[in-house]
Amino acid sequence: MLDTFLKSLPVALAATLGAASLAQAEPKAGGTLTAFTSGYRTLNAAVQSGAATGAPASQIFAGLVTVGTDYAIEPYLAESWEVSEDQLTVTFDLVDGATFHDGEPITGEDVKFSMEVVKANHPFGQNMFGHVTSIDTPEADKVVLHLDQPVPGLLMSLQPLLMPVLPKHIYDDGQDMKTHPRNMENVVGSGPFMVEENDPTQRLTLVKYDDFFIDGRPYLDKIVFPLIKDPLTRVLMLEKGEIDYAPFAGVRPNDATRLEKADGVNVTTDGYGAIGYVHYLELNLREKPFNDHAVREALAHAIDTDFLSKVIFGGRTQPGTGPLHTGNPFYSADVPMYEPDMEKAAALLDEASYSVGDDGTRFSFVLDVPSWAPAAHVPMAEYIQAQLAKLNITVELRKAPDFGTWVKRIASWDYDATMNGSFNYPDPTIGVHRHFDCDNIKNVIWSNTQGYCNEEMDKLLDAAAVETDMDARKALYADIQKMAQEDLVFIYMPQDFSATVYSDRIGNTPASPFGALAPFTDVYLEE
Amino acid sequence: MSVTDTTPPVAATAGKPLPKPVSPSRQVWQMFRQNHSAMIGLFILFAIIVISIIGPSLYTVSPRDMVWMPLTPPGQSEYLLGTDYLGRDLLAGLINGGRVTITIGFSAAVLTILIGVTIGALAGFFGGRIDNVLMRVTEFFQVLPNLLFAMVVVMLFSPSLINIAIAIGIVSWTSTARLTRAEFLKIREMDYVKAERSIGAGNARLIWKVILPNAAPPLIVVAALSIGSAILFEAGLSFLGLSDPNAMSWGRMIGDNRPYILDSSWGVTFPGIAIFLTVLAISLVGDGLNDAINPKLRQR
Amino acid sequence: MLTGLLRKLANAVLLLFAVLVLNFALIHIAPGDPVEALVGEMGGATPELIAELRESFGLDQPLYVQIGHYLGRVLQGDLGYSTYYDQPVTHLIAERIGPTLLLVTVALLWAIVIGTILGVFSAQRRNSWISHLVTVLSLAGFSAPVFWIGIMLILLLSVAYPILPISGMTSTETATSTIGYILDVAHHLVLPALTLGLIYLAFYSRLSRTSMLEVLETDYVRTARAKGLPKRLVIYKHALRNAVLPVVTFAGLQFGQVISGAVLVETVFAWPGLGTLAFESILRRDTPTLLGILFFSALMVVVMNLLTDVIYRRIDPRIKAT
Repeated sequence: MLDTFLKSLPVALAATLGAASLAQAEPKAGGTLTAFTSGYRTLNAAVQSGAATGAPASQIFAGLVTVGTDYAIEPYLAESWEVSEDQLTVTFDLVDGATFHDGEPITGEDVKFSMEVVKANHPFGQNMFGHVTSIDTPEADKVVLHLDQPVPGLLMSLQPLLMPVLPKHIYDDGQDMKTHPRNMENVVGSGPFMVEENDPTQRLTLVKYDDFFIDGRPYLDKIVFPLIKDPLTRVLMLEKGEIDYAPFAGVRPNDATRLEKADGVNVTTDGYGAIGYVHYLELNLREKPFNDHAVREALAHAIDTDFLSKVIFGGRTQPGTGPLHTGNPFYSADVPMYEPDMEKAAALLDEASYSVGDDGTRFSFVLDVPSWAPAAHVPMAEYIQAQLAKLNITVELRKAPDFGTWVKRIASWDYDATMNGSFNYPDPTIGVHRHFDCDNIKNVIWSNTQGYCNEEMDKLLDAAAVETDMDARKALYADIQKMAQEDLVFIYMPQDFSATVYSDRIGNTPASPFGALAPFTDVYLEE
Repeated sequence: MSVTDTTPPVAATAGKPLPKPVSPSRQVWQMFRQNHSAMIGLFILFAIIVISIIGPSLYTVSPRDMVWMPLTPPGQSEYLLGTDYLGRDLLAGLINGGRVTITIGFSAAVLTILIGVTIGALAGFFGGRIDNVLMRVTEFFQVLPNLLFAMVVVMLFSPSLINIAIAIGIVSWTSTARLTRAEFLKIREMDYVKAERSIGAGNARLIWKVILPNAAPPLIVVAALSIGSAILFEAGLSFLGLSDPNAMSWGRMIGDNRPYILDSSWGVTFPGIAIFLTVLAISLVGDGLNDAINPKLRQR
Repeated sequence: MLTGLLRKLANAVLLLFAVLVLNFALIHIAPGDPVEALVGEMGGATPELIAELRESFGLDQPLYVQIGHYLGRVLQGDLGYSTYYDQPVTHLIAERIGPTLLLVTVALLWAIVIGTILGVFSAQRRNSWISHLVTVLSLAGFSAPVFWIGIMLILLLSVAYPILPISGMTSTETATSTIGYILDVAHHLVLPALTLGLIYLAFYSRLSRTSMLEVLETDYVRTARAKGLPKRLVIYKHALRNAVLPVVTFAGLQFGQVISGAVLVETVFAWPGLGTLAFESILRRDTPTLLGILFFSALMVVVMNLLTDVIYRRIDPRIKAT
């Protein structure tokens, strides 16, 4: 797969150049871009996942590579790399003269340090770099990774969002990385923008780093992230053009319709494929009634995700068909689907001997609704409750009072069913395998908490994890997706509605599958 | 006046000494009937309660079903008041929500009165050390920030209808206790109480049969008004998302529809009006009762 | 009088102590703990890390030990570290108390001034339109949910006629001058202060009306009038002073409840005060912050009660300790 990426590289670059030359105006240097933040705790993406930290952090820190359109891996801090024949050694050459924001040179030692920090502290650290057995730095501008098995998604994980290159001379002082004071104060980065003002209660201001290692970049002078927590305020400000660029805008589908009507404002749902945010109904497969495949099938027939995506989400989301997001490179639509059919659902339940009892119900269960994505999960849960009531199934909704309580219930497997969602994070080994692997049935949230174990599935997952041929890998994932739907491990809901709202003023809007989580080196402002 | 009492003045002035009433209920009703605004309040309240009780069986649309396109304005479909953000019938929500709102308001008020009167009566009747301890407890609950504390309780022990009513009751009883205590202190020293005591009446009899009935009038007013404040309290909690997810209440409707006000103001307007009317009606009735019980005030 | 005050002070300290213990116990016996919330935020963690975190927050100790440690630290003015922000709780409270005080003070002030004027006028002319207005106003203020009034005002003054900002305390751009900053904040303050004040207005107009009526019927006012003193003079010289007494008292007490009172309004307008911090801390199960705010809020009530008591004695020396 690495070769495929390498081969596709010039093509991808040409495509980007072509797009640039088509743009009506020459990129212009200067100007302040106003984005927004809804609050962050740290600017160090090595210890915190998520867009709140990721969006600014990808500007402040550079990675070894970036990801272009169509998932093409492009050089960034690493000007080139070489993969050994056996796929077990990767050697990176760093660009010359790159410096941190305090003027210190960026060396292989910093890269090595950063990877170790990510491996130890990032939620996906082990998934991404667990197979990196050792890191050598034979020369100041060289880094060699040694692997114990081929890792096809390795390069994808080396972009700034997932592996920001940190200054070793600042962080390597024995303090805990997660709570290191320099994650918020006097942050010294390696990326195109440096922190000018960081007041988490008001705004974050980034300014152009003059000695950035790509000449003439970035174009922008400044990026301001004012803190705007209130969604209504955000919508009104976007409508008036007071915010230029709002990724993960937190707007609702009806707001998108409203914003599209405003002058000079565009709405797009592109740029979320790589993150791949999918929602699903998770059923505890260990216990009655959900250990019965027929019951799950009945539920799948009763819950019309197409209706949900069309009506509740205004047709702006895709109905979920399996573990992969439609924007994922390995997505396959060739999976069994369960058409909406209440009669069939009732018949299936009758057959499974869950007929309507004397109390007028077939069975009842508690559906947990977590608090971290209410705009998606509350409508879904209320729809499921109303829909299953028609089948004489009593659903009691239980809103978790806070995040921790929900985590505890699910992670200790002490639940009937829950609304849930997770990120693909683009390589399925990171975001998808965790839910299906027999070995990952753990008391950890977003592991295989539902208790699914199928040897066939395990074989497919193991094979896909090391397969480096793109087509062969795609075929494996197609089978995985098919099997997930056949077994009804989860009942998939519409994908997340995530939108970027941006003004006409912006040139070269970030177009990669990582959207706003990619560096803004080429972004400029017209007029 | 007591310096730490933050009840509205209606309740505070309700505690005037009363002569032993002759035929109290009839007299009060006659006074009450002449009070137009109180009668209007009573009528509204009656109507709302009737709608809440029989409404759901007359208007059978389920408040949970997604029946129409989301955010349909009033009058543009067969659903008179339009639909909410999930395409659910707002009218059905209002009718069914009334039941939940009033039930919570009523049970929280009952709890408020129960705790308040018990503590106030014991403190006022026995005085001395018991009074001292109970008043410390009362002060303690007065010092707690009431809404915040109720939020914490509901959050920690999950937002079910019962927990919400309990949380409201726990933080609302202190002014009732103070009022009851003051009444008891006063009535305890009256001649007819002393007379009862001298013929050997026990404490229980004195509290229940002798003092409480005479202390009742101002307490009735407070009880009526505390239903109103409990409803407002519940609405506030629901608005913050601390509502029972299995029960539709008016406050929850406001909270749920709030993110959509740019496209649908009716989703928050109607339930708000419903709360407003109900609490207003209760206030009018409470004021009317207050005036009727204490005619001297009425001349003002 | 001094011993009375001392006793009150001792009583207050005891109360605060009880508040600390009860809140601490309540939050810690409830299901769920901050480490789980934190681990969830991080996207999961190994059992070892969870145990380590639990130890670092002292959650592995028995409850009475935890309470003891906590009380010891509070005595030294240390409210602990926020599990979410990784900052001292005292720092967070100091940061957020300003906006809350600003909002509540402005709301209370305008409500008291206008409310007292309305109340006094309506007491003088019992059947005038002002009197009816006060009645209607106070009924409405008591009956409408405050957050709903806020939303209605937003719909009117931020959406339909967009003249006021919908939420927040400052604009997104950094103000270039101090005056610009003050004007910006003032602009944002109008709606929340108006909303919160409307509730207070209902209360104070009614309160001052009632107490004015009471005073007007007292013997000394009657005597003064019988002596032939002009009505206006009697009202302003004798009656008003006494009628204002309860207003002062209640203002002091309500000021003590500022945080609780402001939660809803702060939430509606996304005002960056203690109320929103408290609400967010509940959602995040940020126990130290939550405990800190509850304690701080109780402290405010106690202090304001004591202050009110002192002021009350000053204004009216006849009042004896109750």
